[in-house]
Amino acid sequence: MRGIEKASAFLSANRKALLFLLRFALIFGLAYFVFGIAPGIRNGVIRPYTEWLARAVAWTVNLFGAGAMAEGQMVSSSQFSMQIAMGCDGVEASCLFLAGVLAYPTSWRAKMIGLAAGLPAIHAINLARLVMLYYAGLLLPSVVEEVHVYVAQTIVILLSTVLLLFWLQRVAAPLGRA
Amino acid sequence: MAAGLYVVLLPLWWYSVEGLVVLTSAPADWIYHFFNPKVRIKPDGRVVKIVFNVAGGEPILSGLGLDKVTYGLPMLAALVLATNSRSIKAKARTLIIGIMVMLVLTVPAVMMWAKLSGLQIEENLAGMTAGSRSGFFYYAFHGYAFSQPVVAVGLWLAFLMLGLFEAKRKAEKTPVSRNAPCPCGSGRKYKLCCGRG
Repeated sequence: MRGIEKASAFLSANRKALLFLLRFALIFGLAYFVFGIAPGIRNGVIRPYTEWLARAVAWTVNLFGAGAMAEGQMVSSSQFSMQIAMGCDGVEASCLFLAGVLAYPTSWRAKMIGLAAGLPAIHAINLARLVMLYYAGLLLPSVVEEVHVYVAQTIVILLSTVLLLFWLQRVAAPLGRA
Repeated sequence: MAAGLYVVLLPLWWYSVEGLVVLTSAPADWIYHFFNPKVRIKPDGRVVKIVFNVAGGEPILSGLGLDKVTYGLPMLAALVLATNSRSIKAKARTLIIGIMVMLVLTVPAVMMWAKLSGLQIEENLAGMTAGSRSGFFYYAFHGYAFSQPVVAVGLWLAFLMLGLFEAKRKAEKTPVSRNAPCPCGSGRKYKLCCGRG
């Protein structure tokens, strides 16, 4: 009985926070299913986007004389080749930001500002990560896999979280009060 | 600060993967056994080994490096340790809860890998196109694996919003009315019992 009382007190004291977290998890799951798993969108939207990313990486590194070429999802040069595969497309970070913005109770104006500024910023960060990975492959070939999984991906998610917290503090809270 | 802590915690996590394999493969094996008794999930160093017992043939093996589905752990620990909190006890409690939640989430991930590998083996044996039956599990498993930092951030946000970093307030004593029955259970009025003087 005491446990039930404690649980109901916890639920009523944290109702708003729990609702936000539930909305956040549902929106993240739905967005990830749509953009990350559903085969139609994966093949019709995300795959062409990763091919565009490969061309963008090749173009950027060629500005510094890398001599790289993009073919499909592959970026290759005489010294190093990499594939822009699942997980390199920025879908996870975008879904995290999207879920945070849409789940937070604030005005739709604040949400639209957040999405319009945040999502392109996340994809710019993701492109910078891919360029960094290309150079990591050139300069540190023995640890490129570890850098790829444990460092580069984490940096993108951390920066997306920073963007989300910045939006919460500077945009969502003031516009939500207005 | 969280990024610096993450770099410090990465080697610590890296060397604890073998322990995580033991902790997660036992419950995964126990649960998965109810769905498919022909499959066993066993710890094997840094890898969770999936053994598919095929009737009248040698068992087929598949392995999952557990680092691929637990690398959110050092990030969550870094985020928790970098969060401002007045109570070290609350921070330590949050860290323990976080590690436990991540471990619990790893169990279905291991089972999902067992299911995915089983379907891929069936496709292979039946000469079907790769991914025709296992496609959903392939993307769901890799989605969870690639989303490890997102899981860490999600849990950290949840802990933050639920006030887990705040110290527990001591229950305030409610004042007892002088004419109310004494809380010690004597049956006398408070003013004539414990409230005397």
